[in-house]
Amino acid sequence: MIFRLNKKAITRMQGILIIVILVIVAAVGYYATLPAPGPGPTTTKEVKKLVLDWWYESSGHYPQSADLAAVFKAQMERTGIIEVNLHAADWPSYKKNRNAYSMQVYVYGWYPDYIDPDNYVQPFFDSVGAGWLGTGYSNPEMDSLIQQARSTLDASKRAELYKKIQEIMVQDAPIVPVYQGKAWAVTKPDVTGVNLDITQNMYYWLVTPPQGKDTLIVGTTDSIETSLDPAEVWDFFGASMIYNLGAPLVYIRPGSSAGPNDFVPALATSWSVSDDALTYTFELRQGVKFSDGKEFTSDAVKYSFERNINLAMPDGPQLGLGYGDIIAGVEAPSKYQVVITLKHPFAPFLALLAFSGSFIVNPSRAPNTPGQAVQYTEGNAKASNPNDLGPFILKEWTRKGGKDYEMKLDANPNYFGQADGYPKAKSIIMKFYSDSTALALAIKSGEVDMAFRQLAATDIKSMQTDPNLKVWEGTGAFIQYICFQERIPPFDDPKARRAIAAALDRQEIVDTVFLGQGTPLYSQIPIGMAFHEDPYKSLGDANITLTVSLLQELGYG
Amino acid sequence: MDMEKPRGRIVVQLVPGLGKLTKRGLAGWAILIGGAVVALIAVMTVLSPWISPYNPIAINVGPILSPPSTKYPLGTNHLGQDMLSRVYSGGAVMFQVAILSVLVCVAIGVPIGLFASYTGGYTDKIASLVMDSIYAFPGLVLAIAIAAMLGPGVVNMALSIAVVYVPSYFRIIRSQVLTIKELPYVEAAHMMGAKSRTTLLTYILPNVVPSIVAIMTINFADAILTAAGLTFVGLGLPVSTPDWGWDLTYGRRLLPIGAWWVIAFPGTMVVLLALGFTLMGEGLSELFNPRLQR
Amino acid sequence: MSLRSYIIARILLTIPMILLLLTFVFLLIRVLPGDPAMLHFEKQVNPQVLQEFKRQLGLDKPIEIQFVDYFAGLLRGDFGKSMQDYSPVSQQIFSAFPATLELAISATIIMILLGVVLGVQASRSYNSPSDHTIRVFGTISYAIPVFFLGEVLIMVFAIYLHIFPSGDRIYAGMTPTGLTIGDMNVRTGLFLLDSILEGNPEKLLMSLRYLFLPSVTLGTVLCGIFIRLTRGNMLETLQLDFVTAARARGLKERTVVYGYALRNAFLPILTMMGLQFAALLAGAVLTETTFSWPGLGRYLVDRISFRDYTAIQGVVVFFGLLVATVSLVVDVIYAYLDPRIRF
Repeated sequence: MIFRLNKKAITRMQGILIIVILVIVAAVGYYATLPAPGPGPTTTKEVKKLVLDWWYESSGHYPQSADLAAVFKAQMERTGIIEVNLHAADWPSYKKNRNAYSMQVYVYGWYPDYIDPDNYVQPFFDSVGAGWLGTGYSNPEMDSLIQQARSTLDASKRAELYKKIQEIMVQDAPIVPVYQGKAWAVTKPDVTGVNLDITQNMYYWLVTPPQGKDTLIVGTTDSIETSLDPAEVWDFFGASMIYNLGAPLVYIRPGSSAGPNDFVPALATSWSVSDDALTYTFELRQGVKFSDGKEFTSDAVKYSFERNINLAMPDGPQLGLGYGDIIAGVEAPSKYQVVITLKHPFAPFLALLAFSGSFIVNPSRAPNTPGQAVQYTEGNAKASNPNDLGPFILKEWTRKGGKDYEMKLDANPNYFGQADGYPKAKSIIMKFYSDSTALALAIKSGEVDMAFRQLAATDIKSMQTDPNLKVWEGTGAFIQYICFQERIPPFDDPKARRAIAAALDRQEIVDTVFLGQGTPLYSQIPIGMAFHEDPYKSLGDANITLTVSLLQELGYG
Repeated sequence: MDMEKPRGRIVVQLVPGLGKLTKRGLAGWAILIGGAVVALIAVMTVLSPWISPYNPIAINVGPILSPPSTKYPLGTNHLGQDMLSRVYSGGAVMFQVAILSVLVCVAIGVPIGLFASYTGGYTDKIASLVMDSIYAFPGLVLAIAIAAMLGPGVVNMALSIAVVYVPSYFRIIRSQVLTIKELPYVEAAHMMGAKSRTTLLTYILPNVVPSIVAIMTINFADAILTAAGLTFVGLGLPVSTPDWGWDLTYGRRLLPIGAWWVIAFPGTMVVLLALGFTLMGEGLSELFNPRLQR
Repeated sequence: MSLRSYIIARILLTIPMILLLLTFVFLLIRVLPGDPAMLHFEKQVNPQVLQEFKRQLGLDKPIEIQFVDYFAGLLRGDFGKSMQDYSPVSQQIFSAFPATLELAISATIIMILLGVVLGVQASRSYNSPSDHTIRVFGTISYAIPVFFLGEVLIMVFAIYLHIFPSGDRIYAGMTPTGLTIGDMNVRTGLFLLDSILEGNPEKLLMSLRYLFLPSVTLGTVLCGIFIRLTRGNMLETLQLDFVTAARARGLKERTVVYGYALRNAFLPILTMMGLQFAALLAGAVLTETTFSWPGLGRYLVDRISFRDYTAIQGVVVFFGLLVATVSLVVDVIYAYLDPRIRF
């Protein structure tokens, strides 16, 4: 009974506790009223700051986005005239926001679809081609230059055009390239055949499993974004699965620099180009069978191209890369011959054919219904995969809780490369991890034989000295860039965009976030690609004076 | 019976009270130690702007991921931030969230509890039903759902936690009030014409306060753990604010390379703070509701 | 009152609680600042995109109709469509649930084991250093954030010592397939059971290996209450006459303690287990995230970063129903065992 219990003791206890708690409350209340701790930009006068809503992707699609965002914020705020509010969104929401034009500043990345400077220019600066990115940038002069540059095969003419394009690139600064990353893969020591070339494609059929095993277990943090349909897939992982499950007309020789002489036969054994570069004739490989026993003929090629373009998937590569503006028609004059006619000369056409969007589907598994791509079907791998003729067959595909869980690929007995001993592994199991830490732990503990995308820079650095692991490094063609939403002021004004670009310190980013595993990038066209220049160098790095003066012209400060 | 307002007694009994605590055995010691730990951490947090060697959110003040050394006693994290400074200032968020949520809880739970249980009847039944439903539910999940709706931020976190803990206050108060209500002298006061409000305030409330205080300290501990949990699932504050929960979440990534210091120190601080409050709470509960007669 | 009428009365009591919970969750998603569709996009949105989105999820109907749909759907087992890809949430919940169930069960086993054994030990050596150590352990283990403990265990056992794996549920391609008779396949989703059904000891061992660290983490953090409960109970019981009598009869101390005295503690432990179930689920959410355990908790956390409010709503409702069912079952068992407690 409360009353019987020593009443004196209670009130004393009350008192003591109330005092203790009051002390804590007072302490924290006092703390809360103190100014921000430590040294930092303290503005004593009223400064009108540019307040930015800076978005980054938070579900691991790009490596270390949160760290990058933190460093961006620090660099912007060093100018004393910018304040950054960071916002995170997972990849699907990020894309939704991108399509809804709701992010004022956002960071994006790019892997090449085909190896040509056009693929780093048209999808970003062309009014139509950049529609998917949603920045709202449109410059008719730029559009015409881009169109000319992709329609001529004359190298010196192209050099001139890309020079002009890169000049306008920094004047308008609709997006700002930041850095160029490297490609990394980590495997057990006895795994061979990992190819990290400029195409950034992972050809799993070249990889040998560890000694004594015929199954290769691959861990990744990627996941299928939309589906496995070439008419829809425009993400890295979806494309890489298509490369391993399907087949194109031509391959790019693995390990090459994807130059004009680096195309090797795939489903086409030989080809010729007309003098005006408008007609391509392909002789097809004979005796190749689909997995249902039907023979592969030119009809399948015609069907694939027409169907993929006809589906017109809004987020798909056919629309984004402008297949319809490039290809005039696909004809099948005979059983093993295909003729593709173009609307205008297109320098990277063969490269485009090696891209996942040009892969050949199995007509019986890929209906030609506009707007409807082949989707994931629970428990039925075959129905989820319209690709065929590739080195592997999709045996199993499980998703748990809406995310990829496991994929099993078995060697395709009908693959035309079987005679040469491909694929090297009898089967591949893809295991999906929720973040880079889980993946790093998995490869370190031997749970997986190979880890590919995405590992943090710290993990890679420590694995390089680990005797139980082999770290593969490859040419990077991956770039990251900052995008401005021109529908949200002040980014309708190129001055504001250039101001942000000037405040960047790219070397600090590469050193801090990526521990030097990357290169500062001053053009949307990456280093190592033809016609690359460094236009953004003209704005300087950490050029705070320029940033401040530009923003002052716009009324800030 | 003493009708004197209890408040006057509190002030008079303060100092000798401390000594009395130690005489109350293990429970008393628990309260003292717990209170001391909490107070120490609070002081450290308050003094952090002056004692932090570096700005806790400035990047690259030191080499990235360096282990504890003389220059950086607790090491640096992956952005080159000094861990010692972050440990000093990381508690602020915890305290703010905990105190705010406790205040909200008390402000809502106590009046409802008092009113509903004193009034009885349908009010009591309905209130009990609602509170029981919330109480039975996994706290963190509910807090997560609410925080997911409200968004990040100190206030939102505190609100989500508060909603989850209001039922605890309600239940304790209710059980106390129901007992006190039936006491003879309360009935007597009633018959002498005391208004309900007077009865509530002068008789019931002071006797309920000890239990409230006990629950409050446990509530603090739970609020801290839940706040850490919310940050862990990504519903905390945006990047950069020094926060132990944030270091715990982010430091997870550094486990594979063995950079244990990024999570070890903030983690220990969270444990200490929660422990301090828990000890106080347990000591208090033991004193007010002794379980063992031995 | 007979057992049957108790059960009926208890169920009748649960129903308003469940209704209340469902309504609360429904309102939570819709009444709190902004409507869920807008929140999903955050700030400005192309109105066409927003409209289509709302239409797909049925969020464009007036709130009363949404409410009815919601309830009707729940009765059918339909938890709505995910905001991310419009696929049914119930399917995703049911595919993720067995993992959580398995974790919950094994964590409970560890929790009870630790709690009872340590509690008994403490009671037998009352006021000795070991008693105090155990009590301190119980208090401290509660104050440790469960993900911190998990991270520490991963550091020590998975990274430095390489004894246990660091996450996930099973090695690639080794998912137990359960019992397969001809074309029919019985799979519970609980890997321990499935590997037994499949008759594959290798998979059984492997599942145990993966299950160990997460269960220990979750069980340790929650065992404090059981230590205290057992200790208190045992202290009281060990004083009672029948225990002294048993000792006098010459029975071994261990039989006396575990056979006789502990039986008394059984009932309160059972009730406490029921009460702690909610805490178990909450702890599972954090444990699953730490160990990348593919269960409902991790699903919930994933959905939060996706701002997928229908899925969050679905999981919260599911948890609520689960807790209500478990407490109902526990109460009924308790009433069955102890006829005194039946109103």
